[in-house]
Amino acid sequence: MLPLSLLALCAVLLVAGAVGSAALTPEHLLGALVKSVRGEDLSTLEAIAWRIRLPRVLLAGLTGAGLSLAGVLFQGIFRNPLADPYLIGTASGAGFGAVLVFALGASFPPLAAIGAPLVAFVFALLTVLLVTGLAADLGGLPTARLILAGVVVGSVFTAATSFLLVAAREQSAGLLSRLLGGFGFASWGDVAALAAFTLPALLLAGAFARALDLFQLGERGAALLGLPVETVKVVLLGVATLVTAASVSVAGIIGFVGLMVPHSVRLVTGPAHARLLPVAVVWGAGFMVLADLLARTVIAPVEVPVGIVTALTGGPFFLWLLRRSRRGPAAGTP
Amino acid sequence: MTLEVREVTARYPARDGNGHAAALTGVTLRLEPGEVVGLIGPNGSGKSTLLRLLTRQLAPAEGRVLLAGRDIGGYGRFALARRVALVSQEPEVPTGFTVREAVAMGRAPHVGLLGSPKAEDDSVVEEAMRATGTLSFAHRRIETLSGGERQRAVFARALAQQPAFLLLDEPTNHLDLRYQVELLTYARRQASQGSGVLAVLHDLNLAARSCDRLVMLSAGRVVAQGAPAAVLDAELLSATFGTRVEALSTEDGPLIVPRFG
Repeated sequence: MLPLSLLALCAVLLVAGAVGSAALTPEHLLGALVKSVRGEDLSTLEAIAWRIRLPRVLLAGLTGAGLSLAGVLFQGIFRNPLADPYLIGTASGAGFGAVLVFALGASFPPLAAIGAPLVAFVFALLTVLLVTGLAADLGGLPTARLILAGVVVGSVFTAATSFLLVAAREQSAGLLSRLLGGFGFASWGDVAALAAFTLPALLLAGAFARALDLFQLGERGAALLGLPVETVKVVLLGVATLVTAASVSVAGIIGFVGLMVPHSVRLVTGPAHARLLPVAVVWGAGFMVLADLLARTVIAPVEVPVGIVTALTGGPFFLWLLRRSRRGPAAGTP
Repeated sequence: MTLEVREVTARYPARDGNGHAAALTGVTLRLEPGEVVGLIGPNGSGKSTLLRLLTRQLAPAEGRVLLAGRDIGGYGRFALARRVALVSQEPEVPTGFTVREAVAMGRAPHVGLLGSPKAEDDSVVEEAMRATGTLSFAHRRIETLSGGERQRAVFARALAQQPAFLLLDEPTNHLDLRYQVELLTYARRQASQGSGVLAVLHDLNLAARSCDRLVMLSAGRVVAQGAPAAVLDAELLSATFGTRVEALSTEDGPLIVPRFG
């Protein structure tokens, strides 16, 4: 399944790289890559490919991979298939942190670029602790309480973010478009920054794939098999939160990807994380690249924020899941 | 190797602030390799608490829990899980996983946190499934199994741990007669291969026929232990369970019959 998925992802990357206001061919993309590496001069189209199209497509791919990874991790740890960085409020918390830094640090951009993911991480972590603390029942984390707490805490952070946007006055338009989710400003710097968070997170999560499987026995069952449950939980929640925060600070709040992609992949690979994780990451990347392609072409030259595209597809998907989970034990926690 | 509790007292922190109710008081019990010991007693007499102590889910307030003569607290998590396995009363099944995958989770203490299973692990899983008759539905999703099949799969997972001591918490709950007998037969076979088995059992007649020794708890204390015929005494049972019973002797042990009215 993984080789096939990787092949499909390559095709998606090529198509998305080629399609746009300036029509490019795969040769332009490859030429831009090769010549840039060698330090040769680029043609105009190759320059477009190198400076605009490639970073944009790669940033979208990394963001999708990260959000999908975060979804798999949240769902695995909470044993709740509806856990998603957006639905449980983490993304809103991260968004508040990022906007806070950009609003305060606008006078000194380098500080903002480094500080945003970190402060976003702090607020995202705060959200996770708050939401799970509020939602915890004696037996675990029931779906309804988790989502309810996530939506409410998320709304509070969204309101606080809106306040920041209003208070920021002249910068608010820029901040808002950043927050709404999109890859229009993608640069190689963004790609490098996000990759620096996402790739190590992928490796770390992959190493814990079996531990995540054991979590499906319940925390008590996992502990009886010797798993250091609390340590694993802290590490993996930290990874999921960090990846969410990094992608929100670079690309804004993009919902439902972490819900839709892992769910669809699980139907194909089954729930064992050693198979699920890599495929979900690849599909997440492909899905986001396609969503961004749609966002920038559907009413071109106007760009739709990609968060709108994912919400329009993800919302109905979530409702379908909710309806389905009513009928069977598939939703995990009753 | 033995698994034992010595003069153990255990308490749960009270939820309602009414102090600490003692769940066990001065309990001493020793489990040897090769034997099947039945733990009996009324609801709330401390049977499950004892299993929690033996699996380190609960630390004793007083006394010691020893594995091979060493304090159980001194073992690493995986080291303990390689020696002691528990089949819980109502284990959570990992939804969506196949039976084989779920049984293979029992290898976790041998594989470690970040390791991956080797060929030897696969053959242990295979053997555990053969011993429990679960091979024929190895590829079914575990949540689609019947109660009896599910319990066998959970039992297979415990066997995959290759534990020296196998603890069973009311393993025959919700099972019909055939599966009850079957499960205790597996437990006996495990004991004959050198494991020590401790089973919490509600059915006294089943306990009489499947165990070498019985330990009876009442209100957190051991009130009797020894051969089934000695422990299953009509007077003692009537007092312990608070209802009148009669013990008929049969060829293969006492038969306990409740009296109404």
